[in-house]
Amino acid sequence: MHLPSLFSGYRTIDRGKACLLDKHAWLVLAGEPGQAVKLRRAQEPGVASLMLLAEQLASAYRPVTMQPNRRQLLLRLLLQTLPRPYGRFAAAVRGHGREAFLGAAIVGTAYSLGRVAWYLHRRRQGETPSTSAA
Amino acid sequence: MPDDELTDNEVTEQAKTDPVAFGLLYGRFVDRIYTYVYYRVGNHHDAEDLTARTFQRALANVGNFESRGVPVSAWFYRIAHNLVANWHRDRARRQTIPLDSLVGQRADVESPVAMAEQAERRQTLVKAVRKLPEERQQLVTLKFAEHLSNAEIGEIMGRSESAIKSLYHRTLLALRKELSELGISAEEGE
Repeated sequence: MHLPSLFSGYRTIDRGKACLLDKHAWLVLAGEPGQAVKLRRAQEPGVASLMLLAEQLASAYRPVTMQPNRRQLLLRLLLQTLPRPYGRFAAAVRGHGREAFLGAAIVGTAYSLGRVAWYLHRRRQGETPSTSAA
Repeated sequence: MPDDELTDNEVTEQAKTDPVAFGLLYGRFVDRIYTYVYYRVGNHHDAEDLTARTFQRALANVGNFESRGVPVSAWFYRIAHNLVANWHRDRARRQTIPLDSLVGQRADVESPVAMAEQAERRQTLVKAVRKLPEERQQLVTLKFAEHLSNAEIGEIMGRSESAIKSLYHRTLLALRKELSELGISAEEGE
């Protein structure tokens, strides 16, 4: 057992099995059942049984489809209940709103820091700060 | 450019301002999302409801979508996954969830008896998968129902390709154990 495997709990031999199982699954899903079966039959019983399980899963899990009328109905309902105004203006606000907010925050912060610095500078020179700076 | 030639990302950009483009996205993904949700919840009624909610949420957030190299499909699957997870949490106290009879029986089965046996076998298998931890169920569904590659599954689940391979190995081991506890061996039904 390699040192890193002691920590990961996943041995090199398991990685080899994982690669074999992955290759087998790829063959099954790529529509190469003959090749997949050939690969399975060349394995030791433990790995072969996992491969057989994968073949059965591929058979059990097939795409399901919604009835066409339900699909259309769902789309119509979706578009009828649009969550907010759908237009170029709304999209522009959405697209640039975050940048505009960040820009305003940066400018505002810089302005406040500038005023504080100006106030401290005036105080160091012994001048009375203006009411607006205070 | 015809709509068919636009990439998913291009259509998504259009969908930010154009509901028709969102309809195109819907057409491209509705069956895949429906399949995913169906195998995660086990019945058509809830699958339809959760699929609708997935697209509703996608429509509400499409304006904020930023690709950052992740395919649009991964975004849809993540939304669906979150909704399915909430659905399971809401029903955590329920002991059993009915599993509809699986659709699309194979045509190459010789007799009705053999066909019924195969259907039963498939149902048992799907039920056994649904007893596995959530991430393992997700992996099986994305791999076998959606035929996604390890890279695509990794993007959806936020894991590396090698982590997906390891998870797949462990999932098969756990499933074999689950089936053996039900008194079913992998060799049955071969």
